[in-house]
Amino acid sequence: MKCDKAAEITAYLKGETPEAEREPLRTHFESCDFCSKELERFDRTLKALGRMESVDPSPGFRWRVREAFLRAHPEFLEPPRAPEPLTLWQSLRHSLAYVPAWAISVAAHVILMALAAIVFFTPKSEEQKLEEKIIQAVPPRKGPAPPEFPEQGGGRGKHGDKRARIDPEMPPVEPNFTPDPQPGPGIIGPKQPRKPSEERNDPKLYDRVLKKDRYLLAFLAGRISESQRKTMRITFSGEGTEPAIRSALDWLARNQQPNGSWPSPAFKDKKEGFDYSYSIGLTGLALLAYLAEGHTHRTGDYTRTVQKGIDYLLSEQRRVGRIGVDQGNYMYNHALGALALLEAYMMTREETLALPSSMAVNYTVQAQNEDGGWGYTSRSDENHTTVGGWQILLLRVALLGGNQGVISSLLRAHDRVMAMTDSEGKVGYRMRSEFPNGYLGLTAVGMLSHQLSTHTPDPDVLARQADVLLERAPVPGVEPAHFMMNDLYFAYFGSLAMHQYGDKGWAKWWSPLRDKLLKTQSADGSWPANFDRWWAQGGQVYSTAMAALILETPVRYPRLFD
Amino acid sequence: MQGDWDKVDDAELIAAIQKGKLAAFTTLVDRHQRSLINFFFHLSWDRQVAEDCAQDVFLRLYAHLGTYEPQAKFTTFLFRIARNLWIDRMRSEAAHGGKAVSLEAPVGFGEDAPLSDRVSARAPTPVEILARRETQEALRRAIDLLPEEQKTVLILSELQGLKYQEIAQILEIPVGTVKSRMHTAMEKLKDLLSDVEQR
Repeated sequence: MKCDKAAEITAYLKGETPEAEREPLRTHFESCDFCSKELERFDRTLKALGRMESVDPSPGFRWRVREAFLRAHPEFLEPPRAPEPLTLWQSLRHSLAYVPAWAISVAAHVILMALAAIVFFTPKSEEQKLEEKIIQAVPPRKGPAPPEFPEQGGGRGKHGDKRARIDPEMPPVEPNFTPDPQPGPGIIGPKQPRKPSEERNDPKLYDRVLKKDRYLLAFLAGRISESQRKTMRITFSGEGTEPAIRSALDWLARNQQPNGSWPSPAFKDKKEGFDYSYSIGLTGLALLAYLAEGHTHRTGDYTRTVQKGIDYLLSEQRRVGRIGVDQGNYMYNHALGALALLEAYMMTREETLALPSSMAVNYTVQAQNEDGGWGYTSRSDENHTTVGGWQILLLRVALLGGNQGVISSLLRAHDRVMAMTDSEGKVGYRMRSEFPNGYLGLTAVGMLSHQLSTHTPDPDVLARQADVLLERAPVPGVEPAHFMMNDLYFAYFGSLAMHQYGDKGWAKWWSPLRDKLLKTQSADGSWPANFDRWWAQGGQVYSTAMAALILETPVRYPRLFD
Repeated sequence: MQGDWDKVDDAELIAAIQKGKLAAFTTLVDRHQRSLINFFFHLSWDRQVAEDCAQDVFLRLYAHLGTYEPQAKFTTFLFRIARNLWIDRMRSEAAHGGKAVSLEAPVGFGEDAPLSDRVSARAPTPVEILARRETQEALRRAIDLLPEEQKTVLILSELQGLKYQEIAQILEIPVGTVKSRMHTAMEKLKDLLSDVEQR
């Protein structure tokens, strides 16, 4: 027989019954058969509900909310802090370890004289000096400076005729530097109400964000400064890298082909001669190794080598901006060639490189897939994290150069990278948790992509990724029998990412890797062709250029975050 | 700096957000993201939908801050926005032909499963996994059979741990209505879940 009091059972069990009514109810439930049975069943039901699963926020959730919020309310964006230049004391502290006593004495006298001079002159801060350097080296753009789009190809190089070919796959390229007012589909916060374009394109916002980038641009322009490189080496690299890099650059110069390229030997087909399928990518890598050390086609010790390499890339650029033919996995080639041209342009500001480099960057923007990633080919059906890593690096360097048109592309790319990142920070290849060749290289690419594709990376995700990388930091496998276990891809992206990550993991990551590379370099300056698991694609040029670039990590790009 | 904000209560965080402090906003997100995501997850059984909705709540929140009264409990304020957002979403879906939520959808024990499940010291046996999956599926089916108004009360009370008084404020209904809806929901569930209770 039913009981009216049974209606109170749920509230009673949940502690929602007024205190005064609890005791009488308890007494009733004990004495009423119906209610006591119902009480038991309700209790069991509540316990069953307690087993209902719950979910944790995905690793990128916090970041996505923050990013969407900032996009809606840019007034919350705090001005980014510029990276702290070394103080006089830090420079001295690092320098003294390598300087003989007599030099210290001379230096002490110089410092005393400098102190005396301070009485008469107000010294400029490091920040002011950097600003001045920026103005001298790379004056910020006053506005869009779109180069004329050529009706015909041409340019230098014996393959100039190819550049006139119209590639039907691509929409018209717009080689300009204006910000994209409408972020594309797939941007974080798709349901967020769109703000009026004038608000989201608030020039003050971009000014604030780009203020820091302008500092970094000065760093790139300052690569040709021996003193800057020396400071960075002393601070981050340690001893022994400079002669090794020099020796590698010499080897690369000796092995450049007459047409300026660096093809790989034809390993795969066991044919004589060279395989040119990755020659643009390898040429890009080799050029980047020179540029990182301050050697351009105008300055340094390898001007002719660099000039020939640049000429080769220019001769291979198509009218759509792509460097190389649209065959095979050509987006790798394009990104590496484009990055080399762009860095050469940013270091020299030579007008002849302005249009080719901006067109190459635009090609990458246009080639981006709908969902923010990049595949082996333009606008492909698949996203490949590794291909995307190179494109993101290219776009971020372009942003450092003031090309605000890449911002929305970077944000979309960031969305994609975060979607590929699992709760442990590991980054999948074409989809989340897909690791066809292991997760280390992919996570290294993903970590750098994460850092470069936003001004506000998620520190929690980065910390997890750093843990993943450090757990299996490059093992000093220096014996030829173990060479095939090496993964220069992992080491290259991991080094760039860990350098950006900061001091926390840098020493642990860097010291064994540096020592390993120094120990395995051949007497002629190269690294063996079979030094790496991907040797069949790149051969000795790949291993040597990649090893040199890894050793150059600390002097290549400054840290973007404090 | 984040550490300092962690010690601040919700009302102070809101005051700081109104003064333009981004760190206060992210602290608020950190503090409430899990409960909001789970509120929507238990309504939609779709993690992506849940995160999208939770993100929208945080974005709407800023627009509504002017109406927040510091003496009121913040979670009540937050869930009222969440509830309204869900109603808007349902109306929108209904207007566009509706979106069926599949009862056959597998319960996530892979990528979406709680991290604690995947890092537990002892891996569950296949039988345990099956049993848990069946339990979760039975719970979902049972909850989905409830009318929307009872389901919301149940989620807020049992899964979010809110008091009847708070739920009444969120849904803007009398406490007595909350109590009766909850009891009616439990009446139905006790039959629907009798099998689960045995496991």
